[in-house]
Parts: sequence; C-alpha cells; structure tokens
Amino acid sequence: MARPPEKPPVLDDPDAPPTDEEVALAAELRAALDGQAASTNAGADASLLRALALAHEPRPIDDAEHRALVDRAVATKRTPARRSNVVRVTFGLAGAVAIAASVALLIRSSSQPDAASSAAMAPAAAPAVAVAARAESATTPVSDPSASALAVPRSTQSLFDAPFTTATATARASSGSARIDRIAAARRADLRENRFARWGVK
Amino acid sequence: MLALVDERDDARLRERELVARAQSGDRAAIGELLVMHGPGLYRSVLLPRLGSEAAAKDALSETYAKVVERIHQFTWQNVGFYPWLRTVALRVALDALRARKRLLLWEADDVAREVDAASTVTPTDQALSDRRDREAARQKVDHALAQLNPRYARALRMRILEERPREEVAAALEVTPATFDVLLHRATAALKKALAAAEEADDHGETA
Repeated sequence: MARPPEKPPVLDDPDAPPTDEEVALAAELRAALDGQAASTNAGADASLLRALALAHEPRPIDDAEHRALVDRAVATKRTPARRSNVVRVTFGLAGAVAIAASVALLIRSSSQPDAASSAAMAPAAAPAVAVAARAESATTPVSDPSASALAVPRSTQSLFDAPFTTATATARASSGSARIDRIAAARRADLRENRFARWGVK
Repeated sequence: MLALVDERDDARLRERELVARAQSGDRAAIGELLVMHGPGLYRSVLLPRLGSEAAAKDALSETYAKVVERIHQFTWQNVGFYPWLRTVALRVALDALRARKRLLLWEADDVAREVDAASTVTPTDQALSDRRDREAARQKVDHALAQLNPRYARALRMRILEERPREEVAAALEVTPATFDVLLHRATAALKKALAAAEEADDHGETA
C-alpha cells in the first residue's frame, strides 16, 4: 500500500505523528547528545542544548587545569607590541651615548692638553699635535721620572735674536714664512725631545 | 558582624597589596590574583555566555593574557580587582561571540550591553557580582523556555537541565523513548526558532 505524502512537521504540536525525516533527525540528535559522531546539524543542536545546560548550571573549572592556565599566562611575556619601541629606545640610547662620548672627548682634548705635546706645538697646530701625541702615548710606556725634564710652554722671542738672512730675493719675499719655519722647527725639536723624555731614552 | 567586616577589610587590604606588587612587575602577585578570582569568572561570566567549556577556557586564557599585559592600566577601586577583571573577560567574550558561527543563548549584542553597563553601573565585589551573573543566566534560560510549548519546555528541562535519564523522562511525559527522541528534536527546533526570532527582534530594535 502506497504511503500518503508526508506533511511537514508541526513544531507547535508536540504529539503530532513524526515523519521519517524527523525520526532520523531525532536519532542523530540523540547520538550527538551521547557524544557519538553525528551530522553537522545534529552536532550544532547538541551544542545549543549543552549551552543551555551550562547557562543554567555552570560547572566549576578543574583546579589543576585552572592553575595551568594561570601559570602559562604568568610565564608568558607578550612583547610584540613593544618590540618596535624597544628598537627605537635602543637606537636612541646608543645615539645619545655616542654624542655624549664625542662631546666629552672634545671637552677633554681642549681643557686637558697633554703636557708633552702642548709644550712642543705651535698654537695653530695644537689640536692636531695633541691628538697625535695622545694617540702615541696610548701605545707607548710612560716614564714618570723624565716628566720633569719636559719642555714647557715659552715665548718664541728667544728664537729671533739673530736677524733673518736676506741673501736672496726669495728669502726676502718669504721672510714671514721663514719666521714661522723657525718656530715650527723649534717646536718640532721640543716635541721630539719630549717624546724621548717620555719614553725614557733621553 | 564586626568580625565579618574586619575580615573583609583584611582581604581587601591584602588584595590591594597584591595589585600594587603586580603593577610593579611581580608576576607571582598577578598569579595570586588570577587564582583568587579566575574560577568564579569562568563559572559565572564566561561559561554561561560562551556555552562550551572549550570556548570558555580559551576565553579565560585570553583574559589572563590581557590582564598580564595591561595590569598597569588598572586603577584601584574600593570594590577590588574583580570588576576590572570581569570587564576584560566580557570584552574577550564579546569578541568570541562576534566570531562564532552557531546559535547560542547569548548574542554578541547582549554582551556588548553588559560591557557598557560595566563601565556605568556601580561596581560590586565578586560574591555579589557572581550571584547576579548566575541569576541573570538562569533567567535567560527560563525566558527562552517560556517561549516554547510547555511540553517542549518540560522535555528540555528534565532531560537537558536536570540531566535525567531518557527513559525516565519519556515515562514522565507518557511516551515511548523513541517518541521522546522526536519530542526532544522538536523542542530543540522550537528553541532555535525562538532564539532566532529574539535575535531578529533585537536587530530590528537596534536599527529602529
């Protein structure tokens, strides 16, 4: 006997005769509630019913599981958002230190000239000679006993008791240069003597 | 009575010290605060709203991570640390509900309203807040069941909420167990329909 066409289920009538589809869906829901594999729809329905139960009577979290969550959160350090700041701060600090070091070097070189080189150099050549002498003294041993024998700053007047030579036109034209040359030669000699004195070979 | 007040004050004082230590970078102090408040937060706030233990644990973990990251932003209030922690958790739950695909008892809009309320309503301590959250959850369930045919509501209440055996519920409803399965399936379909209608009404209410 042919079965009459099934009507769609009447949801508002709980006791209406079920269709075959409803019976199949009901079996799937029951399996899903029992934790067995079920269709996606039945799984979603079972999840909704479990959510209903959990809202009505929420279960406490297991102590050990909770402690593990806390330990993980406390042990984890989230820094991605701050990484760029760290880079900026690092570069900023490095730059500031570099500037401070260069300023300190400049101030020191101008306020504490090396006695050996300052004594020997001409005023115009002082910074360059001072740096050269300091660089040299950094790689060579220093002998204190000879320090007292170092040349000291003094006037250049004593260099010019004798008149400059005027034998040639060139010399006359360059009399100014000759004076500078004499001063430079004297200072070079002083510098050389001072180095020997510091090395202890004087 | 006075002893109870003193005890509560002592607890509040200790909590304030923990917060101060936590804000100065003491991870152990943060851990103590989370151990103290986390289980209640999970049970009263996250689990009812997210509807599954897995989702609630993920949200709790995310909440803790945010707390560790942002503890320095917390300003002490007389009701303690919990209201701030609850607000962080509600925001995490809101994100989770917005990302979810399936129908749940709580909608994202419901939690969004709770987040707003958390910033305007006078904060309360954890005991009172937990009680209110639990009552609100039960009322939500009761309201959902009240939308259904009483026979469906009874089937859901006995089998799902009270977790009574299938055969026992079938007998109570005077049907066979196989017929009860169909009844439960229909009750579930009716519940989904009621929740979807409520969600739709909520959306219309917002746009109106």
